[in-house]
Amino acid sequence: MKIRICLIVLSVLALTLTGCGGGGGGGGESAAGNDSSGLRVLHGALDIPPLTINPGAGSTYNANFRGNSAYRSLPGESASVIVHRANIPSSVLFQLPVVSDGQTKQTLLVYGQENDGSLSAKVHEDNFPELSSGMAAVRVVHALHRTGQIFATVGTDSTRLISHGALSSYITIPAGPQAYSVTESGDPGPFISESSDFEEKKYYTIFVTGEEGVFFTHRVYVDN
Amino acid sequence: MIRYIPSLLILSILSLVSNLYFSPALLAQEESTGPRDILTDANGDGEQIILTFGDSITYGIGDGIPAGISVEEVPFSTSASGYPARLSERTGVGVLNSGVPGEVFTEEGSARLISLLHTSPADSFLLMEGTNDAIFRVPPSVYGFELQKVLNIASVLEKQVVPSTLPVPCCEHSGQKLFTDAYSNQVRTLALTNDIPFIDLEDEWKASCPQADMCSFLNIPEGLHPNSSGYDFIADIFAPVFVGGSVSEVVEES
Repeated sequence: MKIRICLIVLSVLALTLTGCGGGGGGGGESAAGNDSSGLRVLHGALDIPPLTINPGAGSTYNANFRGNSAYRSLPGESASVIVHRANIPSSVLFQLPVVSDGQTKQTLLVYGQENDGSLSAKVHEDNFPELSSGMAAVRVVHALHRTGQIFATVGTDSTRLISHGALSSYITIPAGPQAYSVTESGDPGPFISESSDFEEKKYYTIFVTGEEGVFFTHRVYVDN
Repeated sequence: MIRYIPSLLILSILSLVSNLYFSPALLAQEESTGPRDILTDANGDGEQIILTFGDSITYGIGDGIPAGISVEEVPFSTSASGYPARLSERTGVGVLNSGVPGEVFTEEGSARLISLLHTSPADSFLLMEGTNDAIFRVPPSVYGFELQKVLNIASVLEKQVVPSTLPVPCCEHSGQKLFTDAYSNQVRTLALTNDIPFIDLEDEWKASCPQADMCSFLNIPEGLHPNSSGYDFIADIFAPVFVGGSVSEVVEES
């Protein structure tokens, strides 16, 4: 047991020193898709393999851990979205009713772990705030397993408190290079402290995932 | 007769590896593909390095003992070379032996591998561990969850992990076979769903040792650790995977 604790501590130190394998910076990877509405998937469950999303009609698409599918249109006003392990259609993890008004983008967040029965999936509406000239918007998604609430700060904005499996609202910030940090509730310092170039009139998701004491990572995605 | 067995085995193995494998789970079928760059200089340091990760079987316990000798208890040897040294000889690339005798993958093993994924200069990580999990009767699902965590982390870090199914225990350790078989099935299933290559050592082992209790690859009756012939066999199975042989991968059955 002592060996395991030491290795975990070493792993956490290594993760801290190496910036946890990445994410951040570079303005983010696009999830925009082509439509004004649609569903995209954020896969934040560390013990779950790549996912295939079957919206019920049309083509299926995949999402890897820490990955992000582009927004994809749903086949109608309501859809029964099936999420299964990639390449194994019979291994269904979720079957979710998703309602679409044809004008709203939605995010399906997969988080928790199957190993301890906490694996979950939630559909969130992506409510984009109006952005005036020279402004961008950023939100934080918390899928870091075995971590309670986290505090996220972007630029000089006041800190937002986010529960596991939840998304913050979009934080409006001046476009351009901005620092952001994420701190676990009760910890003295942030476990993520980086910066990124947030472009004008764009909406961003900072996706934080992994497992406390094992591995954590984050990535910045562009939502529009 | 025993002294000729290695030569015969090598001939049979050569015929096997000429059309490499990866025979998968019941869920899938094999599909032959062209050469795949399993081993590249992924980190751009000018060297190709394989890190072999595992337990005492990777460390090399039992090596140096010829087949046919009765072995009740395999002695610990610090000079063991096992399959990693043979793999280096066969591939001509550097192979790091990261075997820790007694290590349980679902306990300290996965954490150690995750740490190595961050720190090791290796370009490819060959993972074969789980025999000690079988001794503690770790549920196969738990083994699968831990393996998937490692694969997800490797994917994020852009590191290549090539998992292998496990050798088949026998004799005094035949009780572990039920679990090692189940862990091997986890490897196959996760290779399928993660769309990654894996090495089906167990399948080749069973083909070459249809009568497990008489398998010339293991120290018998101990039945857990390979002897010199067994380590030769493992290296012969592993080596072609890393030197550009034509491989088969798991594909979904339509």
